[in-house]
Amino acid sequence: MSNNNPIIEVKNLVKDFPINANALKKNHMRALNDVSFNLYKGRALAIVGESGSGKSTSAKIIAKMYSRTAGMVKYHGRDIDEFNHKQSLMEYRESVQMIFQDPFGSLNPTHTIFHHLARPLLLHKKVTNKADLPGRIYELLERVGLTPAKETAEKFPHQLSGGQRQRVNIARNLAVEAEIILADEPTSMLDVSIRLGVLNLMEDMKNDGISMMYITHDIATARYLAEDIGVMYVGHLVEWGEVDEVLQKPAHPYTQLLMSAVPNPEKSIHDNLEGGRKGEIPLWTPESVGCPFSGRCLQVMDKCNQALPEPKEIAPNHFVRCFLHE
Amino acid sequence: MSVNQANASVHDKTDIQLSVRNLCVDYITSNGDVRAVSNVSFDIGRGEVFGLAGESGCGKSTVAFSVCRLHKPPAFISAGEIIFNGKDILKFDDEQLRQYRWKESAMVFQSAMNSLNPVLTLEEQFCDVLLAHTNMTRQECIKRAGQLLEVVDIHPSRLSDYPHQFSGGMRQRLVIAIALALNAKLIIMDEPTTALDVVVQREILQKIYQLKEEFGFSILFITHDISLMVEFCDRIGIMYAGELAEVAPAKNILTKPNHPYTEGLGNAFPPLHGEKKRLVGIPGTPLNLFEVPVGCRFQARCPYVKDICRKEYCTLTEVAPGEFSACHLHKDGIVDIIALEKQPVQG
Repeated sequence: MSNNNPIIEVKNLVKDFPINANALKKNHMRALNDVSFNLYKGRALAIVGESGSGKSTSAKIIAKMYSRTAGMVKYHGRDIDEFNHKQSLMEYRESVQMIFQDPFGSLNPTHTIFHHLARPLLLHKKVTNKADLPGRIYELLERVGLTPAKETAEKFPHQLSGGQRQRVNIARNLAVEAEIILADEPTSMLDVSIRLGVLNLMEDMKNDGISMMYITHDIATARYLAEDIGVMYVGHLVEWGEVDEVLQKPAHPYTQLLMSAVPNPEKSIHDNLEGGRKGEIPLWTPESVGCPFSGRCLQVMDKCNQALPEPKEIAPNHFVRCFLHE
Repeated sequence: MSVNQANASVHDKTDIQLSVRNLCVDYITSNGDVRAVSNVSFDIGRGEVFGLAGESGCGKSTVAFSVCRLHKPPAFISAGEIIFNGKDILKFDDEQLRQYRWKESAMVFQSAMNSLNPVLTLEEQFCDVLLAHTNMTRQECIKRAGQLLEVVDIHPSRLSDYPHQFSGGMRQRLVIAIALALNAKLIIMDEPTTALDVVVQREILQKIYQLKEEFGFSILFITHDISLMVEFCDRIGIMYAGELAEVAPAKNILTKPNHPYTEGLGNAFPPLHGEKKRLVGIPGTPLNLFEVPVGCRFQARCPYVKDICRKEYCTLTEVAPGEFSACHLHKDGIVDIIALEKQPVQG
């Protein structure tokens, strides 16, 4: 990936959620199982997969919105659990910021854009003199392409379009000088013509040295923005590596299935799906064994139902979790 | 505005299932009337898949609702004709309309989660449709419902289940099965797979296509995903700000766009292969329909805008066999928009 030290190091992450809990018995589902990846300065990692595959859960654990069941998350080599006091937690949150899917729900409708940007600036002491506040806010708004900045700052969220609101969210991340941005489907609620503007803005931020995790189900935009990609299926990272290497030479049957299903104007709707067949997506529990894709895989073997394959590097910076590549 | 637009038709008269002529739909708001759909004309042939694409608010769903006459105030159809099998459905009375809906043209809505009643079993929901429109007994209805479930690959034993017991993809297939219940001749699909994963999306679209070949119905398919539309449709209409900007065969729409907006939409989708380069998409924001300018509605965002675009309105005209465009660039013969890209015309 990169010779630099990772900013965020996720190792063997496991997350269980309780389901159907009652007084006598607690059942769990395993939302993440043995997930490892790194985030580097100035690089973007795209995480793709279907809904419910654990994409958002992994981001929320890094953002300390969820606790983890097992595994390790390190920030500059320090366990993120060490950031648990008011001061250190504040510092961590300053560095690790999220962008959410819904630009309509993530801004307070009763406050102006000025207020939305002033709060993080004051709270994180990025601006200590209130007289400097307007200047800094206009600078941020201009940087995310919301001009004229003075007029935008006076507006309320309902006066902005979805794309403009998402830009305000990005400006908030820039306000606290975030080091890592975890973007959870930031463009899926935006129109096609607006989407590219937001993606280009994120790319500029990445080129300025911000480390990014881009969660999406749109493989084309993942390729557009990210250097690295990870494919998730039912809580498992099944294949990951450099984006073109993974997308052009998909090695895991699920990645092959996904790639054959992506809408592509050069193909026909009648082309067959490759790599897998339709089937129910399994509910993964702590007791489940084997490969999560075995029920749908066309090349399933006996051992696929007995153990989870270990990750294997099949090419430089291209990892896959499948017995076919043992 | 001229009402003598080209009909965007490539079919023989006898082969047309649905013909929309100069359709206008207005919304009455406290700030004045808004024309959400303006002079839209197109034909759908028997067994044809016709797609309508465009950004949100461009009027594509409004057109779909018009074809079933589902509009409620403050929306109303202010002008135009919608001719289905030779009859204008805008002139239908309530009873004719009741007969027409579902039996002649059925609709699949965007969110399957909201289209099924969560407190009724599937059996009830199938019987509801069949009992209202046919003379079948309840026993026959249940039998027919079982057949319909088999058509969409769901086991008939699940008729007694409730919607929440099915996954999103299965619910979408159920809605399609209910739409097929009365062998409608036209199925309107408003973003039928938008909320689904790509693998499930492809499975469902392949199933729909297979059913279309088997039963011979026509499809009006609405989505904002042009890549998907090119794969699935025979012909595509691109809408911008309530108007049809272009109508062309699906295979040509991305390779040989006849309207700058279509070209922009095509460029807004990053490619899956080849060189990675920075895309610009379409600058600006969609038109506010309260501020419709004189001339072309796309002028503010068009890279090739000329003086004439700010003065004269351009109607949809046939620029090549089967290809229609509402762009001044094409008035005097076809202009290759891709070639123009290298030297944009500054107006």
